Amino acid sequence: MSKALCSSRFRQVVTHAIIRFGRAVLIACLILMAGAAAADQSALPRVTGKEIQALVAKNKGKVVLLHFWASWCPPCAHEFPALVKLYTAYKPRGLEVIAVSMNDLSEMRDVMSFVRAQNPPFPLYIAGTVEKTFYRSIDNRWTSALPLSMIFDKTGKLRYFHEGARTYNQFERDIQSLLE
Amino acid sequence: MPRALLLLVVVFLMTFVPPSAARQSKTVSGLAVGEMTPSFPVLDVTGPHKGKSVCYVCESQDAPVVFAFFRQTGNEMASLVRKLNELARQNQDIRVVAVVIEGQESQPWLERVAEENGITIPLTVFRNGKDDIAVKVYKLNASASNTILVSAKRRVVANLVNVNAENFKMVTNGVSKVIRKR
Repeated sequence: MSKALCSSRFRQVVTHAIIRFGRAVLIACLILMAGAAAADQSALPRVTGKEIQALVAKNKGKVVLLHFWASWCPPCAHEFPALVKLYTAYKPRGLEVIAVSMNDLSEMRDVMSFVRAQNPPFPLYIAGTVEKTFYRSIDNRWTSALPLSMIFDKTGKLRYFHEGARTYNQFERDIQSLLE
Repeated sequence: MPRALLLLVVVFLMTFVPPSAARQSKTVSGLAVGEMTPSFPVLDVTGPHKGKSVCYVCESQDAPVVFAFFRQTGNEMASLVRKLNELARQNQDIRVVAVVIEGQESQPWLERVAEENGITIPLTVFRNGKDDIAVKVYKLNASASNTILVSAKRRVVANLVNVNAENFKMVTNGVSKVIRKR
């Protein structure tokens, strides 16, 4: 009788241990998966010239400010807060900002430091390549100067092409003229 | 007779071939005149952005810039850096930047050269050495000891390869060309 009780108790302990082990494995997997998701968030999606054009086309009906920048470009860092302010002020009226980093893919850590410092609320991407072909695929006039801002009207037509940094007021003037 | 012919050839060469042409390098390196200068980052070792990655092309926008790319550090580079520094001192409107292609490890040397010679132009290095994307984008030839590009309005105005103390005047001439155009 006592032997049977002992055996049943042993089975119970083993079963509990297996359940506890399974639960621990499951939790560990969930933690690992969460870690992987966080890692994904520490990188920007890569885009080609064609994909950027598609992104602009997808936003027809809105005024789109397509912006190119890099973490090592001093005028870009200086100008970026104006973009954030502009987006916050004009998004409700139909402005969309798409920002593309022209950093090399190996510089992702610098890119993310820049992003964390600027904390932009609009979508961000990184150019798939920083070779001449990419610049050409965006616009033949682009000398590769940074920053570059291209502003499209609600029909998707390019209306402004600005190489070099701009102020909030300059951006606002362009945006207002297209939102009216 | 053959000796007379040889003498004739020597006299002809000495008369009609200028000595500078005989010395001039045939090595091709760097963006050609008229090509646009793409934005690229360097690791600033002694400049105003010391310790950070920075794009001097971006910062200069349309202003004239002299980029001196050196394959490696050494006495020849130090001598040219002194000359470039003097050039920048005499032409305040022009930005001069020296870039070492191979050499994260050359940073202490660059700091020492800058300190000992009172160099104020930024001395920089490519972060990824000869594998840096800028080497490809700027078409820098690994066999050239240096490549000096004078640019204005983001276009190359002068491309000079294997510059040394003797033919440095080529750089001065390139800069003068930019100043005249402004």
